[in-house]
Amino acid sequence: MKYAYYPGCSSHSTARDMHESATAVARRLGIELVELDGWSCCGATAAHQTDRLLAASLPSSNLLLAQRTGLDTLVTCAACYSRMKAANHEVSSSPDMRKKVAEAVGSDYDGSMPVRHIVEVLLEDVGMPKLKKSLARSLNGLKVAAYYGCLLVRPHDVTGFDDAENPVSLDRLVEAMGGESVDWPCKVDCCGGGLNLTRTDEVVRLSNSIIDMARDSGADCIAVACPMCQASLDLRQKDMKGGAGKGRLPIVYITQLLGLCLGIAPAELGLNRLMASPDAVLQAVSSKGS
Amino acid sequence: MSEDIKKKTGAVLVQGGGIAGIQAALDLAGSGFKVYLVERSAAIGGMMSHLDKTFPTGDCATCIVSPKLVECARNLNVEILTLSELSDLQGEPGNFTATVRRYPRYVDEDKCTACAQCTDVCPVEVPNHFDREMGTRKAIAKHYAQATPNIFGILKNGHSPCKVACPANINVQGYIQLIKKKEYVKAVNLIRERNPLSAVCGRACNHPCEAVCTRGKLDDPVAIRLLKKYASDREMELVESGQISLPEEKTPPPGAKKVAVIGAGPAGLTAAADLADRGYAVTVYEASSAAGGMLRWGIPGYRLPKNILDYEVELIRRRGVAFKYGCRIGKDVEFGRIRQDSDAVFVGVGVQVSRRLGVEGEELSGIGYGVEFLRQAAGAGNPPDVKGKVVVIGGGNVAVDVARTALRLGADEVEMVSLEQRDEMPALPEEVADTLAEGIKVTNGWGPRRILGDGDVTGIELKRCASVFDQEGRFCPAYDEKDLTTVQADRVIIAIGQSLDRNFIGAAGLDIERGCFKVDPVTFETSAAGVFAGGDSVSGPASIIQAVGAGKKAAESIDRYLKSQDLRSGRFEDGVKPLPEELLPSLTGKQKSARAMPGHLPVEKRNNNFLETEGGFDEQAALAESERCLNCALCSECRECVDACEQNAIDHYMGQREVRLEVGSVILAPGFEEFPAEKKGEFGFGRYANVLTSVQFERMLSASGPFEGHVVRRSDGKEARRIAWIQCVGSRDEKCGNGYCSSVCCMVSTKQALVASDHTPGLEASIFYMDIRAHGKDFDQYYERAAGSENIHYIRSMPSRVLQVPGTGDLRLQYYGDSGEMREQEFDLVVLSVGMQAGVAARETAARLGVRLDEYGFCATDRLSPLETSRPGVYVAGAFQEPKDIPETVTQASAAASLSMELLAEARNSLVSKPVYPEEHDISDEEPRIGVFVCHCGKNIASVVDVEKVAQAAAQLPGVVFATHTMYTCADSSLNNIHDMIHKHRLNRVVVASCTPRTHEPIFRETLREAGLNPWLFELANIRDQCSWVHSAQPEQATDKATQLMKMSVARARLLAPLTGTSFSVDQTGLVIGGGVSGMTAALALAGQGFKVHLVEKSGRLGGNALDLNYTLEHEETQPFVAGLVRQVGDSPNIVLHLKAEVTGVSGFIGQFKVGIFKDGIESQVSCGAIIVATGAEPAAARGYLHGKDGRVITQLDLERQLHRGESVWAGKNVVMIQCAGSRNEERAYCSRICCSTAVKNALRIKRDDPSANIYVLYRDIRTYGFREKYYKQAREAGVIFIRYDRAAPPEVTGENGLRVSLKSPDFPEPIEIEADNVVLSTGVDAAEGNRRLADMLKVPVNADGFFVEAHLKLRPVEFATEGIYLCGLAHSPKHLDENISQARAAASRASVVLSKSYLEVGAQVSRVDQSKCISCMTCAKVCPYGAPMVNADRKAEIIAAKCMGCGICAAECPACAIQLNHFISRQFKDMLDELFKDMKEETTSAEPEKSGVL
Repeated sequence: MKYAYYPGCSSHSTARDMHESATAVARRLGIELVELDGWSCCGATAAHQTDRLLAASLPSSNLLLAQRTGLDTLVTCAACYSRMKAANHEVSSSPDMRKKVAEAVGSDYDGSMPVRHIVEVLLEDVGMPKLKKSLARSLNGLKVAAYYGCLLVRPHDVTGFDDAENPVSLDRLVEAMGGESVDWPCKVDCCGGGLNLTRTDEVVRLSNSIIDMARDSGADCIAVACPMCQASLDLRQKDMKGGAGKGRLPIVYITQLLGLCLGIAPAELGLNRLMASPDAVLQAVSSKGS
Repeated sequence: MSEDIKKKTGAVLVQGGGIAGIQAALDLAGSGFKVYLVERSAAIGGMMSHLDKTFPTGDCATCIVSPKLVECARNLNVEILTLSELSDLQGEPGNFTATVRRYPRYVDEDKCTACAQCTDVCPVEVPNHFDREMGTRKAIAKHYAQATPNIFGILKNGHSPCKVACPANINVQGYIQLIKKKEYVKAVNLIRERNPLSAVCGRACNHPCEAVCTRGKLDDPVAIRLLKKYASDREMELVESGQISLPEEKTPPPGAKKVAVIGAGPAGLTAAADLADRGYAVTVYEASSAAGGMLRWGIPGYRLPKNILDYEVELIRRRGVAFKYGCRIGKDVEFGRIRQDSDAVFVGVGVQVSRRLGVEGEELSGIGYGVEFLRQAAGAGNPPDVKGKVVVIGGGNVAVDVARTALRLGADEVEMVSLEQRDEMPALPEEVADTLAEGIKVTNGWGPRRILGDGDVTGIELKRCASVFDQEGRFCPAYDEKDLTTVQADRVIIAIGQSLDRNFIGAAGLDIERGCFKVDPVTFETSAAGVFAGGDSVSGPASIIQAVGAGKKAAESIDRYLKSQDLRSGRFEDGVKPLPEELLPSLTGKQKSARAMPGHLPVEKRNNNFLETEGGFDEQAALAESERCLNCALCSECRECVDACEQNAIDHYMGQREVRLEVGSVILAPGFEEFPAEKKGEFGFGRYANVLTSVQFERMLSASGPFEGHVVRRSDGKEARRIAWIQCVGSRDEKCGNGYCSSVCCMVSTKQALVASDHTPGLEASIFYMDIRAHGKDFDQYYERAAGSENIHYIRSMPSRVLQVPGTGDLRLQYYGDSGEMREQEFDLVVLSVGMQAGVAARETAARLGVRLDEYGFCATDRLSPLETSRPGVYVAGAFQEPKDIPETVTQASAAASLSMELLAEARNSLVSKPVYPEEHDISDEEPRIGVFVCHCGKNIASVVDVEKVAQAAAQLPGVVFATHTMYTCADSSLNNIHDMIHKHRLNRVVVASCTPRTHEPIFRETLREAGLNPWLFELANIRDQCSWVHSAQPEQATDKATQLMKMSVARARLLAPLTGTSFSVDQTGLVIGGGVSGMTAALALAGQGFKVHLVEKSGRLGGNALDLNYTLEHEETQPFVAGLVRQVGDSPNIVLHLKAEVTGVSGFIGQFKVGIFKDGIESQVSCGAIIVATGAEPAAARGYLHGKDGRVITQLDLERQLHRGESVWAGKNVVMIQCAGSRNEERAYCSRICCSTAVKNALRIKRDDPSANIYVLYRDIRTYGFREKYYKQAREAGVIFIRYDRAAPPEVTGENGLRVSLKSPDFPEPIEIEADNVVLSTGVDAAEGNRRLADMLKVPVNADGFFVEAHLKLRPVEFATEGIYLCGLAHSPKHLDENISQARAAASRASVVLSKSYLEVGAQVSRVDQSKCISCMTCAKVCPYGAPMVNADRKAEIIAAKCMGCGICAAECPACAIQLNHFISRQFKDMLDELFKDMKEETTSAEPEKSGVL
């Protein structure tokens, strides 16, 4: 298994833990990641709000780089994933857009390069049997609220991944690790991520209701697959009302959970970088070593 | 040359057994055609059979449809083909050959008596699709309680994954279900059909079945192997304790062909057992001293105790197998000799020789090999010498067995060295776990480089194994020769695989391929004729179950070989194919449950012994584990039903077949499919237990549904008190592909809210909607009633999503309120009002027939010929044509039937047969012998009235010789029972205490006739409508009352007398009143069948209101169509046209009407057998809104005229249309149905002519139902502005300073004012003025609005209660042109049922005059509304039977008591009253001595 790895900007900044855990897990599972040479920003939430051509061109230029490697592109960030998928969709369904993008990036791109989120790769390429066999530790029944946010599974016509309203892929990974994925209704709610700097109050309000619901549903932690979601839920928790006396809820990347179960040291997974302490998670994993 | 004119076939195929198909079938059969009613499911009844109540009538849907089902089932000319579908249609209209595919029911329809014993014994519970997966049903069951035909059927779903994965294809699901029933012996016998080694495999099988178990996707696979072990052990226990004995020893039949089996391993044993069962003389040659092969010599006793093996070998021996032990081929006997002496040979010698390692030092002393070591340990030869540290090379099951055996034989220390990593080891994971638990060290990832030692072994040098498998996954170890290590060893045992014994290869002389015998992969034939081989010696070392499978398959081949049959085709295993993923059971909402774990012998007790280490289940664990099976294949084929069925009706091997039918035409009435609610994921259907579809809610409301009518939360069973309905789920939604309106859902939800409120007083109902579409007859009044209720809230909003509040099961809805604010509200239940879509099967059928579909996948039709498909001779009716309600569906069904009748008129009566009743039994000399049948009516009666008590009381009454109670007395089986009881007890009177004679009396009377009794010897006691329904709160008193009612009926029944009717001729002429589109269509439909028709039109011109209709939403021009009809009427030789004519009087009766017609000043009279009322309606006069005062205020009709003429300029103009200007208010309570579409039509016309015109449509609800929704959307897209207003605040039009319209819309915060160039009023439809006068003449009713009232709003939409008179078109209610056309044809179809007969029977229930008492006062003649009495030659009164409707007025009025109404004679009533007062006297005066019962 070999992929062109597109880390995305957040992997180098706010979400280093995502990058660290993803690469550590990949190494352990024998997934070879070749970082794209000369990759640039995907445009994230900013570009598509301002300029449709820019929003299609930025991911396209990166996917052209991937095309040279001949490998599928592996993405860890849900926003990058969404933008790349959207660009593929736009370029392949509109000849006009394809032409414009070709002019903008200086090379024709047909929108055909496969873009895979790491969760997709874990489930489909690595596969459940191998994953289960590779586990050294268990989550020992840790109650995990799997949180997908807006970008990983929507719009379904674009991502074609999982169910747009009730996705289960993260839940399946949690269950495979011996955790209990709680059934909760906010799996695909918006955390307000795109407004993190402009309307922090909205982010706090939206994230607050998500965290409350996860806690009410009995979750010990929330597992995420998007650096924006992670930042919103983790970073803003200190500003939130409610849940007093219950302590903060750990917000961990699915790759961090998986890394722990593969027996990788917490520090290698960037668990020390979280704002809300992941102790509850660490305790669960170490409670009954195998 | 073929004949020039081929005679047409007088038969019609109707696809679809819902209410449409049923109605079409009854009409056609009633008018002389043979009908094949083809239905895909197991019973007819369609969607109606799922419903609880109907709107707005409040009837129980089942109660009104059941009589129709029975009528179909009993009609000799309707042949019902269930589980069938039309697969091909060849030929021409009039002469088709239809191919019908018939799916297996697995129950013989002719043999099944519906006794339900099969259902009682069936262990398989599967989701009940009839109840929309709420609750379960058995795999063998009746489709639903009132199912017609009343026959059971089995649900099958191919083969379960476990069975497919098992190399022996054991029916795993079957034996698990038998275990669930504690039928352990049966379970083991089922296993042994495919595998004689049940107990062995219960211990040592590598269970590939568990790996594919569907349950494993939910939590853990079912513990299949351990269940097999449990059942086998229980069987052995029973044998050991003598409760059952071992089977008799069998011997081969004389002259049996001989088969030799070489090797008594699992393959050989299986082949031997199977062949012995098939009657061959089988001899097994075994080199060792006992049977079992690797089972005995390879698998250690702690895994497989030898007594278990001995037991199963003994059972095989008793099947007639001879064993020769110690007989080695090539040494003790020559292979050639065996071939010569036998007719066939099976070779199953296994692989007995351990592979060598091939490294330095392998010759040292202290080195042993796996299988040889195990064989010694198992007692063949000297026990192996084990001391010090033993190192085992290998990672497979043999290596594990060796290691654990070595430990038990006394080794100080055991270490395994395996090339593979832990997760790659070929040994079973549970075995590896046990190995580790016993203290054996497992070293992974190393391979031997050389063995160290000098004479004796001292250790092994190992090299690191980098990878075991190559890219393609083949075994191809790669080593790192530099990474070395050494382990110390006193003994080394090598267990890296086995190979064939070379000596045997030499002796047998068979072809070898890759070290094994070469065989055909399907037949297991070797290179030598008549020699077959299987097991490890063919496959290389594999599993027990693989060897068993090979033995089984080889045995099949040998049998075929010896019978000189084809070895390949039609083999058992060919049919065992995996199921596609989507057919596996759904795991959504399934509760997880832990897999049962067996006990284990503690590690400390395993030293120095070979006790079985793995325990088994106790019964509780086994039963719990068996419950975890998801029944992937539905029916488990455990065959319990076969044992239970006394009729031998069950055939699990029934196959699909095709029948060919000659028919003249086809009617497609396949109905619809509900929108799959899970597609709207935001509402959480399938995810949250308390989110239901509207169909599920119907089943919840239904007394015969899974919740018995209780409205509860599915999450916790608590009463639901807050319910939300979400409308338009899968309707009016382009996103999900259904851009149309489903027409009925608004009313369905309204009804559900009302009914649920009845079930649960105080229930709060909230209906979230876009527009309320209550456009049907009397619907708006019904809706207003609901909306006026304090507890039913209509909220105009589309909720964005439903979420479940954690831990409560409560559902939270988010929506925008009227003023645009976000709201949240919590509910106990959310009902998704799912729309209709064309079914997949229906679309496939259409495609096969070459019938064109429309953009939505429904059957494409034209509004002006709404029943004709694109293929001539193939008609369509019901929801497959367009979503619609029951009345329109029934109407279309009759209408489609009329088209078939017209096409096939010449072949009428050519293929039908008449019912033949047995000769009536003469009871004149008999004492009353009464049978009483008390009905439960499901829960309708039995939940209130103690029916058993009523039946017991009946049994005590004088004259009653038999009394019983039944679930549904009207069900086919119950009717058969009545029939049987009449014969058995020689009954001469029958009393049924049940629902109502209104719907059910005819059915019971028919039963009496079929049993040879006069039908009038029947009496019905109404204990439902008049007892249980009205006294539901007082069950005890209700029971008393029911008893009283029954007793009175019995009293009357004693005096019932047989009656016979008379027959009279039918005037086969029709008369149609009204010459609009409806009237013309009806007249043409009758004339087309060859009937003479009088068409009476009061004006001087045909066409009616349609003359003012210039275009429709779908058609540019409608006048050519109207002109076409007028021309056809004029051209028809069968139509007598009476223009400028009026009906002045109607006399006579069905079949023989006389109608007075006034024309050109002359009164004349015509005769006819049936009358169709098609008098139309009138556009309502505009009132208010400055109409008549300001010329700019016009009506839609005016506007249409202007648009048609193209005389107005619309550029830049403001046009305001006001909807409901005169409808849905005090003046007209009803919705005029057509105005919204008319407004949309005219608005689109204006926009087409000039897009710059501004059009505002002020409305209350836009009611563009069905496919008309498309044009509403088009209008919005074209820029037409729709503004809502409330009934309480209608728009105001003012004329000063220009025309202005002002209104307050609930959707806008500020008042709105529009400057208008034109105001257009949608004024609605008024009933025709002359309706009341005509109604008086016809003696039929009109409603408060002046429209005619049909016999039943839902099921008899085009006929009056008075027989022989029908209605259609606007005379019935406002409706669109296409609906008028359908209704007109439907009325013609119903009339044809009368006109097609030359004679009719008239009622026996008529008045008669005792002439000796008659005083000739003629009171009777004065009071009779039907003119039945006449004065005869003796100047006495006499009643004309054909006119008498049996109302009894004359009998009541006759001053001389000379008149008695047959069947209602005074003495009968007197006795009923005596019976009533007798009981009352007993109660009130119980202390007093009994008085005589004379009044």
